[in-house]
Amino acid sequence: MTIMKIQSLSRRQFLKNASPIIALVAPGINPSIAAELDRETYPDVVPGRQLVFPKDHGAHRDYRTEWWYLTAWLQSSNGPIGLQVTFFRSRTPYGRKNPSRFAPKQLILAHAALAIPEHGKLIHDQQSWRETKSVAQFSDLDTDLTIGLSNNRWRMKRTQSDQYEISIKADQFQFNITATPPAQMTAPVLQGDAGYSKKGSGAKQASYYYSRPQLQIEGEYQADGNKTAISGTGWLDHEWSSELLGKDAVGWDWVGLNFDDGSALMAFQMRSDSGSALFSTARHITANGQLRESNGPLQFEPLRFWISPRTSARYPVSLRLQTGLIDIVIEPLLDDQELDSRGSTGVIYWEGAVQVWLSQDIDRSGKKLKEPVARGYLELTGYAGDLSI
Amino acid sequence: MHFALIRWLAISCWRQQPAPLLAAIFAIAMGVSLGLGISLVNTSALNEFDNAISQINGEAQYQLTGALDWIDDDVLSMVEQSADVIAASPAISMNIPIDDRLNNKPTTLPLIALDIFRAAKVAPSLLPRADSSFAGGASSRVFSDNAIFLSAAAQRNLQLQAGDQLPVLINESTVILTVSGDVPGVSNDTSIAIMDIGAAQFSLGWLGKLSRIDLRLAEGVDAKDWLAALKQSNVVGAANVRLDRPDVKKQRMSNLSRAYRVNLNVLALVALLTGGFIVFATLDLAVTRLIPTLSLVSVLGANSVVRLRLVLILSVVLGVLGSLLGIVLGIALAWALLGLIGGDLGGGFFASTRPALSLPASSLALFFLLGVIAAMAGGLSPALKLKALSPAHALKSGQSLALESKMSPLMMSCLLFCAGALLLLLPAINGLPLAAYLAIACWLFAGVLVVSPLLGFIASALSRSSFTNASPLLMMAILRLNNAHSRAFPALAGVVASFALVCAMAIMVYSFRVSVDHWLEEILPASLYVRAPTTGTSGALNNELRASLSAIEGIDRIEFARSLDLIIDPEKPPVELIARTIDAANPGQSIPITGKLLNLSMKDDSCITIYVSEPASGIYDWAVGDTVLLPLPSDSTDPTCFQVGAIWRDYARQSGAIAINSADYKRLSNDASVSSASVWLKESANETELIGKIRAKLESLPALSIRSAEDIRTLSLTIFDRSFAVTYALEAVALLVSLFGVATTYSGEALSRMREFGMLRHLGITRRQIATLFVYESVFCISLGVLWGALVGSAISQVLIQRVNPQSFNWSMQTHWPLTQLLVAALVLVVLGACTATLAARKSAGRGPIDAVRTDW
Amino acid sequence: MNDPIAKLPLVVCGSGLGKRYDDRWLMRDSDIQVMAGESVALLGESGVGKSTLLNLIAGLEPFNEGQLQVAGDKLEPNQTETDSSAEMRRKKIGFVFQAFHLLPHLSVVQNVSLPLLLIGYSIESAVPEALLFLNKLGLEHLSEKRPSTLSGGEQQRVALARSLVHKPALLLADEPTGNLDPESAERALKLMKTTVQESQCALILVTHSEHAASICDRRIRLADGMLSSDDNGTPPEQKLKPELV
Repeated sequence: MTIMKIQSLSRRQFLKNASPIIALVAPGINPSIAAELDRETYPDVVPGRQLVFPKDHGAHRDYRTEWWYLTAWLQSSNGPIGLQVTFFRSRTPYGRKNPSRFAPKQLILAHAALAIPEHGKLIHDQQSWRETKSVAQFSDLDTDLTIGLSNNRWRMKRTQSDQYEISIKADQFQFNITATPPAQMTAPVLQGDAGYSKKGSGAKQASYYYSRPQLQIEGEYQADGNKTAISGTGWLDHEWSSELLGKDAVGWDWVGLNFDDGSALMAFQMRSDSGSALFSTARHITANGQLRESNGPLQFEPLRFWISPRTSARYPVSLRLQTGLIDIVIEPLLDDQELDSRGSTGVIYWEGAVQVWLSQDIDRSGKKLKEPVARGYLELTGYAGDLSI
Repeated sequence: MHFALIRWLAISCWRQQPAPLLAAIFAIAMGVSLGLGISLVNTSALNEFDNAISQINGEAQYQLTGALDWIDDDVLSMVEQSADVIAASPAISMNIPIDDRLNNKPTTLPLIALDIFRAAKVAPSLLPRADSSFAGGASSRVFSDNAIFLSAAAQRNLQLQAGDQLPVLINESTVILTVSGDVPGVSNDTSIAIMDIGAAQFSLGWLGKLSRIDLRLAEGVDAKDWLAALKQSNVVGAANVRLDRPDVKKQRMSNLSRAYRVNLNVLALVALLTGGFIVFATLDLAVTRLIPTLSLVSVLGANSVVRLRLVLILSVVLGVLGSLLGIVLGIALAWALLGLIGGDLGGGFFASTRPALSLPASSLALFFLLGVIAAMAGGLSPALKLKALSPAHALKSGQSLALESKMSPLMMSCLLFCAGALLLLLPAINGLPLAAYLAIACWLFAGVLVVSPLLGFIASALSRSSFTNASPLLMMAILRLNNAHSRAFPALAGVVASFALVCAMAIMVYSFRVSVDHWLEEILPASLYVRAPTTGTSGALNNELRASLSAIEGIDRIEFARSLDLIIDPEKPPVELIARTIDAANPGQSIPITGKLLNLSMKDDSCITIYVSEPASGIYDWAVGDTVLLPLPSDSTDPTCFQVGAIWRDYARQSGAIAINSADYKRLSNDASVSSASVWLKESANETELIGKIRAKLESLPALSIRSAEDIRTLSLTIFDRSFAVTYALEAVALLVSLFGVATTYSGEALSRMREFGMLRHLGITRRQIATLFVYESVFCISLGVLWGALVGSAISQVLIQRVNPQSFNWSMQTHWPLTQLLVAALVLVVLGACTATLAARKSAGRGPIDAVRTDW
Repeated sequence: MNDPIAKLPLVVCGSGLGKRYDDRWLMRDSDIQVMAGESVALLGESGVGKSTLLNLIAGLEPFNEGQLQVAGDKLEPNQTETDSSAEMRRKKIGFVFQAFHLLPHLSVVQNVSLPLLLIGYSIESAVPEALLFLNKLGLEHLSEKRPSTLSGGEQQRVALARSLVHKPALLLADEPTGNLDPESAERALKLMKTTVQESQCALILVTHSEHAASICDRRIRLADGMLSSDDNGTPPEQKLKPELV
C-alpha cells in the first residue's frame, strides 16, 4: 500500500520547493528516468514466489522500496490514543560500485506519530539516514530495524518468541511497546495471491505484502509529563516492491481494521484525479486467520470532510465502506491527524486512528445506537495538492 | 558673539581667493576618501569571510579535526556510539583542482561533501538542491556518484549550469562530474560546491577519510572530558584528533590579515596627514592675507578671541566639507575597488571573494572625525599666531607680516626627532608595530618643521657666496629666500611631507622586491619544478613515475618533496611542513638560511633537526637550538622531539613553514608519497624539449604543472607588483596632493606680491624677468624640499624596513635604493612644481603694474 | 638763444601727446618739456590723470597720439608691450611712490642696491656703492635695518636713495609726501631737491601740496585734457622744438 503512496505522490510534486530529502526516496518516478536507470537492477515482483518466515520478516535489500508499518488503537488512563510507526527502506540506483562507508545504496527513513485527542492534532517525528552501521541499519534475516543516535534511537525488532519490540525515543515523545500476535493468528496473513499483491492493471505493478492484524499491544508512552501505560490492538504491514505504478492514480484510501470478534479487514482503493476508483480490493480475515474474499463491488463513500487549516487539503475523514460482506461507518478518533512528513518521505497525508460501527447501528441523525465493532487506522493520501499560499 | 563679523570675514576670505580653500577641502577629501576606501574594502572582505565561515559552520558547536588534513572515518563510528552526541555530521572539505584545459577559469573550487541527512541539523544552508529541469525531472541525483552542486557564484565563475560537465583532477586522473543543481542556502557571493559524502569519498579519492566531523554535544557535557573519554579508544587515540570551535577560524583570519590591514590603513591615514599639512598651509596663507582686515577690525573693537575663533571656524568648516566629500568619494572608491579587484588589496588573504560592500557607521564616523581633526590641527598653529598679533603695528607698517611662532621650529624638530628615536626602541604591541608608526609620525613632523630654518640657512650661505653673481634675478631670489624663508613654509611643508612618504614607501617596496627576487633565486635553484595537484591526502607521484622521470636523458638530478599542513596551535593557521632533501651538514645549500646555524655543541642528537622559517620563528617564538613538539604521527611511545637547526627566509608562507629532511619524515610518518619534484637539467639540455619529455612520462597526470624557475620567478614578481599596486597608487596620490599644495601656495604668493612685482616693473624689470625670478625662487624651494624630503624619507624607510615589516610580518629584508625611480619622481615634482608656480606668477605679473602700485590697499 | 636752460639737454620732450581711456580723452594735443636739472611740479585734481602722465613718460603705459622722447629714447605711440622700455627705466629713470614700496624682506642697503644690481653691478660692488650713496644722503645709520622698523619719513628717504642711486637722468615722484607729516615731508623734499640739482637729474613731481610745488622750478597743470603751464601769472612757456639730446 504504502509503495504507491511514496511513488505516486512524488510524481505529483506536491511541494513547490521540493525538499532535498524528497529526492532521495523517489528515484525514477518518470518513465524517462527509468529509462536512464538500469532496469535490471531492481528485481521484479512476480507471482509464485513463496514467502518463507522468519527470513521474509527481514529486509529484501535488492528491491527498491520496503516498509514495516505498525498502527495501533490503544487505551490509556487518559482515554484512547492512536499510535503509528513506520520504518522505510529505499534502495537508490547509485553507489553500486562505491566502497565508501557512506555509499548511498540504501536509505532508511522512519516516522512515528501519536494521536492524542486532547492535543487536537498529531504529535509526530521523523528521521532520515543512509544505511550506517549501528546507527541506521536493518537485518536481512528478520525484522530488526534501528535508526538514530543513542539519544534519539528508534527500534523495531521481532524477537525469537515472535513478539515485536518497538521503542521510539523522539524529541517530544517516546514510547516502548510490545506487540504480540494473537494465539489464533500466529502466522502472517499473506495478502493478494499468497503474498503477491497487485496494485494496478500492469503486470509488474505489484508488491509482496503480508499483514499481522490483531496484535496485542502493551507498553507505555510519555508525551508530556508522566509515563502512561497503554494497551490495545495493532496492525503490522510489511510490504516490498520495485515497480512503478499506473500514471493516473493521484492517491489512495486504505483501512486496516481489527474487529472485536477477532476478525480483521483490509481494504483500499486507488483514486484518479476526479475521485473515482481506479483499482480497489478488500480482504476479510477471519478470527483464526482464514481469508475471505468480498464478492461485491467495493465502495468508499465519504460521509464527512475535514479541511486542514495548514494545507487546505480536504480529507474525507469519515467514510462508509461497503465490501459486499459488510457495511460499516468509519469515524476518526480526532479530525486533525494530518501528517507532514516532508522531512523524510516528502509527502503530506492523513493517517489516523479510527473507530468503526456497523452502518445499521447508526440512525439517520448519526446517533450511535451500539458500541463500535472495530478499531484501526485509515490512511488517506493524495488530498494535499499543491499548497495554496 | 561676533558671529556675523566672523561670517563676513570668512566669506571675504573665500571671495578673495577661493582656490586655496577649495584645494584644502580637496586635500582633506583625498585623505579621508583613501583611508575610508581602504578601510571599507578590508571590512567588507572580512565580513564576507566571516559570513562564509558561518554558513559553512552552520550550527555546529564543535568540529572534530586532526593534526593533519584528514581523520580516519572510523572515528565517526566511535563518535556515534557516544551517548553525549546529539548530532554528528561528517564532512570533507577541500579545494578541488579543476582541469586547466578549461581556459581562463579559476583553477580550484572550494568543495564541501556532506551527508545531507545529518547536515540538515547542523549546516542547513549548505544543503544542495537538485535542478528540476534535469533530464527527467527527478531530484534523486543528490546521490549520484558524480553529482556536484554549484552555488550561484560558482556557476557564474565557472560558467557552468545544471547538466554541464565539470572535469576535476584527482590524483592520477581526470574525473568528470556532472553539475546537478545549486546550493540555495548560501549567499550570492559565496562560491562553493557541494557533493554527497559517499560520492566524494569514492570519486575524489577520500575513501576511509574525512576532513572533520561537525558536532553538537548534549547540554551540560564538558567538551574536553568528552574528548578525553573518546580518545580512550584505539581508533580515536591514534588519529590525534582535537576539538575546534568554529569561531576560531574567523578569529584566525582576522588575526592573520590584521597586520596587513593595519599597515594599509596607516598608509592611507598618512595621505590624510598630508591633507592636514595642506590645510595648515592654506590657512596660514589665508590668515596672513587677512591681517590688514583683521587689524582694522581689531582696532575697531574686535578682540583676539574673534581672530582665534575665525580661524578655528574656518578650519572646522574646511574639515567638515572635506570630510563629507571624502566620505562620498571613499564609498565610491571602495565600491569600485570591490567591483574591480575583489576584496583583496594585495595581501592575498581574501583572494577568492568578491564581497558586498558593507558600510559600518562606525567607520564612516571615524573617518569623518579624522578629517575634521586633521583640518583643525592644520588650523591650530595659524590660529594661535593670529591670536598673538599686534594689530596696530600691523596697520601702521602697511605691509603684510609673516607670522612668527613662539617656539623655535628647530627646537621642536629636535625634540620630535629624539622622541622618534626613543620610540624605535620599543617592541611590537600585540603583533602591531604601533611604536614604529608613532616614530614615523614624529620624524615626519620633525623633518617638516625644520625645513624652513634649513632654507634660511642655505639661502644665507649662498647669498654670501659667489654663486649668485650669475644674475641679479638669482641674487634677488636668494636674498628673498634668505630673509623671508618662513613664507615658503606652506609649500615646502607639503612637498617635504609627501615626498618623504613617497621616498619611504618607494625604498621599502623596492628593497622588498629586490630581496624577494634574490630570495627567489635562492629558493628556486633548479631549472624545472613539477607539481602534481594533490587532493589533500596523498601525493600523486608514485615510485614508478619517479623512477621513470629520473631516467630521462638530459636530467642531471631530481629531488622529490612532500608538503602538508600541520596545526601546531589551534588558534593559529596551519604551518606548512616541507619534507625535502636537506643535507644536514650543509643546509644552507638547500634552503635560504639567515642567521647562524645550530652550534654542534648545542645539538641534541636524540632530536630530529628541523629548519623553521622566519615567520614561523616569529609566530611561535622559536630560536635556533630550541626543542619543539610537533603533532606528527609517531610510532614509538615517546613523542619525537624536534630541534631547530636554523632559521630560513620565507616570503611565501606567512603563517610559517618548517623544512625537514625527507628521510626523517618518511621514517616518522611512513608516508613516502611525494607531491613535487625539482629538476636540475644538464648543461646541454634543451628546456622545452625536456618539459615535453617529462610530460610524456607523466601522461597519466595530464595536467601536471611543470614550470621553469624563470616562469615562477616572473609570476611571483608579478604577484608582488600587484600586491603593492595600492601602495603605488597611494604614492601617486601623495605626490598629487603635494602638487596641489605647491600650486595653491605659489599662486597665493604671487598674488600677495603683486605690489612688489608692480614696483619691480617700475624699476625696469620685464614681465618675463619677474616670472624668471619666481621660477628661481620656486625651483630652489621645491628642490630643497625634494632633497630634504628624500633624506627624511630614507630615514623613514629604514624604520619601515627594520621595524614595521619585521614586527608586522616577521620578515627581514635588505635595503636597496631605487635611485632611478626616486630621481624621476623628484624631477617630476620639481618640474611640475616650478611650472605651476610660474603659471601662477605669470598670471599675476601680467596685471598692469599700475594697479599694483595703487596707493590704497 | 643765450638762455642757459636752453643749452641743457632735453630729458623729456613730448608734443601733441594724447591719451585715451575707453572713449574718454585724458589729455589731447599736450606738450611737455623738461630739461636736465629742471624740476617741474605737476598739479591737477584727483583722478585727472597725473599719475598716468608719469606712467606714459616712463613707458609703462602707451600713449595714443603725438611724439615722445625720454632721455634720448624715442617712445612709439600705441605700444602696448611695455617691456621694451624696461631698459630705459632701469638705466635712466628713478621712481618714488606715495606708498614707499620698499621690499620688506631686504635690508635698507639691499633695497638701495637693487637698481645697481639691475644694471649689472655684482653684489660686491653694488653694496659699497649703495652704502656710499646712503652715506651721502645721511642715511647710513639705517643701512642694516628692515623697512618695517623705520618711520614713514625714513622709509621715504630710503626710497629716494633707491631711486637715485643709479644716477638716472629723470626722477619721477608720485605724491611722495602724501603719507608724511610736515617735518618729514620737508626733509624729504629738501633731500630730493638737492640731490636732483647736484646730479643734474630732471624731476617731475606730482603733488597736491603747495609746499612741494614750491620747491620746483616751475609748475604745469593738467586740467580738462589739457596740459598747460601754471605759473600764477607768468607767461606761458614757449614751445621749443624738440631736439635730440
